[in-house]
Amino acid sequence: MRFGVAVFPGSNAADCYHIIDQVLGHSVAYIWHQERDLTGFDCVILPGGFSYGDYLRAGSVASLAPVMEETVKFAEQGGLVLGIGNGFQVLLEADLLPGAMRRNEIPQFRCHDVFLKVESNTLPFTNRYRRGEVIRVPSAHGEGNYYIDHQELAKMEQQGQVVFRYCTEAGEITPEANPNGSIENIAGVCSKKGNVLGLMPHPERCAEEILGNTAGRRVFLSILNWLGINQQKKVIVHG
Amino acid sequence: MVTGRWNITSIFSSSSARRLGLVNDILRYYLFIKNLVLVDLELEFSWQKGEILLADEIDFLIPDVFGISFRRDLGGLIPTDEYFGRNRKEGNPLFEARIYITLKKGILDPEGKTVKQGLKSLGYDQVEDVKTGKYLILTLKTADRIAAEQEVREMCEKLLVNLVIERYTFELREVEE
Repeated sequence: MRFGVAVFPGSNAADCYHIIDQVLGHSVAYIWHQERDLTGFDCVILPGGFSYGDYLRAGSVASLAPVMEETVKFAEQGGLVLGIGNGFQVLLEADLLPGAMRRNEIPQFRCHDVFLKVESNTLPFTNRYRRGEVIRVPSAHGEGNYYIDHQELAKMEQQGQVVFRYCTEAGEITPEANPNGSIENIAGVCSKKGNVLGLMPHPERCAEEILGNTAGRRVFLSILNWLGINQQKKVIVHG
Repeated sequence: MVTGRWNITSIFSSSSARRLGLVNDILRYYLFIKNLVLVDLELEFSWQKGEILLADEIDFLIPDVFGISFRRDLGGLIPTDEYFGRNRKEGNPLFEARIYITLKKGILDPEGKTVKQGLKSLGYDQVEDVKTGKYLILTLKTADRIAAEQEVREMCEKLLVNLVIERYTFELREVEE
């Protein structure tokens, strides 16, 4: 079981790496954006951050890096690809997921916890959640206003591609619960086959006890579960 | 015979001329739905055997990029060979592409909205709408203008523009090295 965390100039890759390595005790490696070899990886994570300074459009330049060319092939062959925050934007720009990101409706960089409703729990990334479950996850972005036209949206809804929606603590999908103006409160979507997921909020930032919230850990546990590993390796703490 | 030549906007105040403004409106609408902005319109009149003869002349049109009309200094006429970049004895011509990228109609422009608020707070209450976009200038060497156009279009569609939410247009001109 091996995770790869892609690193672009401006990525915040360390938090994903830390969760897999230290909290879950699994094998993980950084993949520099110039690399083309993805052999041996079971899941590629595109982390949050500000790749290439968010120049032109967030994720647009990163989507053309050699590692993305390979990630597209990897995804076509059914490999698991998870894009978080900026990683989601990269997936959209690389056309691995439908739609586009606009600037937040309220022109602010919004950094706070949001509540998410899990709309689909049959995916490699969500099988450890209940359908309709509400989770609290930290969110931090200025360009997370998801857009897709109504026809495409209808198709996505039908195919179960809307995975997370911003909601209230009670699970209601309201405009007030929407931090960025995303269409239909969409916070995360997956590919038609379900092996590529992108979401704006950060599950890796709420995946260990010390942070007071472990709601995001199950995204990674779902992946492990789906990949056939239920047993976590024991973390050996030295000293 | 008396010949007159007026810019329609300069005679707009007189009531008979206002009726002529209809020509302007009709043309403007006709071109608007074709995504073009009427920048300038001149009408030429002459007397002949007691009747007014009218001929119209449209100076130039620019694509509607920002949804506003403005007149730019586009310089004089360009000889065909120069326009197509075929004027050179050696080497490929250098072109400058000015690319305008804006959000598609109906896509919310929070930046524009914020700029508008800023203008309002300065007291510019007459501002109805502000749209923001990107302006890129790039220079490229290609065999000729046709090739340059094709390459700029490709670059726009592969990287520079996200066609899900944006649209673009560009101008191309040959420049000295």
